[in-house]
Amino acid sequence: MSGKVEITEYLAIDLARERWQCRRCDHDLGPARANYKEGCLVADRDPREVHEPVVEGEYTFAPDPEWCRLVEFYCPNCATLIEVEYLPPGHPITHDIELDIDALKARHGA
Amino acid sequence: MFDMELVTSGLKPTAPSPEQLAAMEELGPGDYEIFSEKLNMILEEGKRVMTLMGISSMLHSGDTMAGIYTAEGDLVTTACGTYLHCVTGQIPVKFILRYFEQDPSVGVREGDVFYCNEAIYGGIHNPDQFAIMPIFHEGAIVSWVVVGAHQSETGGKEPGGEVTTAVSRHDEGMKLTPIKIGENYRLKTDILMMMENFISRAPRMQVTDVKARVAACDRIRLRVQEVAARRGARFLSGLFRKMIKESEDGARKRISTWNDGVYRHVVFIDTTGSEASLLRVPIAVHKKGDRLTIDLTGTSPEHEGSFQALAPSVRAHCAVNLYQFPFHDFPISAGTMEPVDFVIPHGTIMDPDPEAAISCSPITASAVFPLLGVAISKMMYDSPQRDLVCGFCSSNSSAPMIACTNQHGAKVVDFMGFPLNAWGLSARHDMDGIDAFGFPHGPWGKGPDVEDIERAFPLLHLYQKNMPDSGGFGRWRGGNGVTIAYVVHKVPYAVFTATTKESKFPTHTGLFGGYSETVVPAIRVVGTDAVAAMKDGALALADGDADLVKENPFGGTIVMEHQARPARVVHRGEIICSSTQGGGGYGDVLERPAAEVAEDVRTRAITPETARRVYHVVIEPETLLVDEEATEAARAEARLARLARAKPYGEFMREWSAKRPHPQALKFFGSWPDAKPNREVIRI
Repeated sequence: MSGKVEITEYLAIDLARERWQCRRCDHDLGPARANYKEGCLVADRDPREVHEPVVEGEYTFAPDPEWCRLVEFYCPNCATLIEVEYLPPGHPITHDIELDIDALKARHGA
Repeated sequence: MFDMELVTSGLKPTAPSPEQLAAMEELGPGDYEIFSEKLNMILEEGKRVMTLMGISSMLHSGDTMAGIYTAEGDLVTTACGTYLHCVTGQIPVKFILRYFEQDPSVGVREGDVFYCNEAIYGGIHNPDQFAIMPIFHEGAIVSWVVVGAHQSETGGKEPGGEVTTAVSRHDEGMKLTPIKIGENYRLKTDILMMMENFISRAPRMQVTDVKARVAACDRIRLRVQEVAARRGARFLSGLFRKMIKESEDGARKRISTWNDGVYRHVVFIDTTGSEASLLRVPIAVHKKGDRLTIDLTGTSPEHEGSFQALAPSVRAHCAVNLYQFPFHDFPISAGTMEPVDFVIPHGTIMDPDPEAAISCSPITASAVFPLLGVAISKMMYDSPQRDLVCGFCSSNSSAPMIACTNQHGAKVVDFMGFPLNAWGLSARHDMDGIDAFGFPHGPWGKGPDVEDIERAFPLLHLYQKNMPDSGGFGRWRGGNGVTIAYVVHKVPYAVFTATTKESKFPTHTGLFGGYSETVVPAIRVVGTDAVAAMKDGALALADGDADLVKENPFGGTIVMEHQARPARVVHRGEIICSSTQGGGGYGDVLERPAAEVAEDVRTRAITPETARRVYHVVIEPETLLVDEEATEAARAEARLARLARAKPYGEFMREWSAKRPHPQALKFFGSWPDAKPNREVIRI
């Protein structure tokens, strides 16, 4: 049996404990049957902080901040940027990875 | 009116008959390996015939395919071009068999040539035109051949085939359901004259390219008949079934190695074609055992604009991703799609009423490129396919179209083939994306040389180069797009349209903390004569569009607008830009080695400002050497800043859920936030 399964670049699941973990610092990110984003710190960012406007006006080479926001999810311990969503302001957060934990444990002999 | 049952079911392979299974078992050692490759070589030969005979840029730039199909119309193998057409090419064959084979007024006989460009029955949108021929052996159909390519004019209300301002299908020009255009290996002049009449903006291109498709079909027909004469019809039947089975077995086996679960993603399109507004496309990929279900429930409702796609087009776009990434090493046959099911809700932009305008469907249906790129990457990360993890690309793979009487006096309407083949590829799990990698719909495209463009069209290139900062930032950087500007030259004017998007909202997000590619505006410079200005000393620009709009060295007025552009008249000496977008980034920007960031600055892949502000790397401006100590301090500070500005999830959601986008962004979104229909759609 493998105790820890690498699910993404920054996320692992501890099968025995059924918990999400940060792969950089092993920080606990919540139940594996829930959305790992609920265990992260979250920030709403103006897209122009990353995509710099070239000119002023309606069309600037940067996303329109009234249409588009960057929602960043950080590990609360090491501040690794685990995931980014580009969403309209207020749009529901995506539950992007919902694994069948029982099947995962069976596959890994847990 | 339309046989939607056939359209929906036609993607899946027909269940094999006992005779076909027996014929498959009778294949001898080496038969499959030798003759499957022989069929591929036959198709390459046929596609080459089309390319050499045709004149539209798309016959040269990759939006093509030649495919061999079973006697029942299932895809056996293909030479691309784009994967799109090999998938949808099954539909017109099955349509002909269902409706014409037993109809004495049409019939299916040796030497017949069929043709179609109706998106419901074979195309992605009506610019996609297909020639189709049955292949007979000893008096019976043993196979079919389909050769397709995008034709850049359809006789719609605007030139270019992709009609940005179309409200309904009636604005989009010629739409042929499968029709017989030749008998006894001879094309019918009356039909060709009808096509010239429909396509009067570019009649010579239409008729020449029809003949190119048909010539390719006939070459493939001849070669397959040679195989049938040598080995017999039963051998062909067994070979075809084996090729389909290999793909199906391979796909099932591979899917079964991925973790069961549901993988979701969401992207947003920022225009209806005629008006900027947000349209939502979410995806949930359900993986259980050896099957996938791709579910687009929650997609925004249909509208009166042109940016929507019929369900067959959406399924074909999904196939592009599946054939190109997870199943790239299997035969390109119908079998790959057998374990894949779809839920595409009707009445949405991904399956509107058949009366809807859909000529811009690739720019809409290709939303599944980043959707599947991200969702399947998350599925494959914990699997033997981790090396295939890649966010793929944005969904903006179109380009401007030009319509004019060119410098040689010929009426032409065509795509700009280079930008179409110069989109950035997203970063992979172990390497940067590729700058200007190609045409996302198929990796075989060829961007024409500057000299080819300037010989065929009345254009002068001001610049054509990689665009800094256009790819997504991350541990691995997304490939950059290109920045291009044309000056109209040698003729009084030319008309341009464009059906690209992503000027206010990018349709990618990056992967695993990587950022999206940037958005791109449409740019024109009007009221100037750039050629005269260059004679007076104005120079081309180091960073392309960004310098053009900041410095305006040619005078005149700079017009910046959304990339979805209806027809624009550009006069002699005026400038029109045609830039492409990059791919998404991968991973946390703070993990990108500082030396790689400095190299990005040296090669102009990113600007020095981005190195400092996004990557938090301190670079000495004269030498471009990294100040390691200062960088370490800057990155430590950046991590602290993250923790300072972020909130626990519950607290964040209380504030976030109360926010709403700008009202214009929600005009065609549907109800907020669940995107259900909330208005009457009226098409006249």
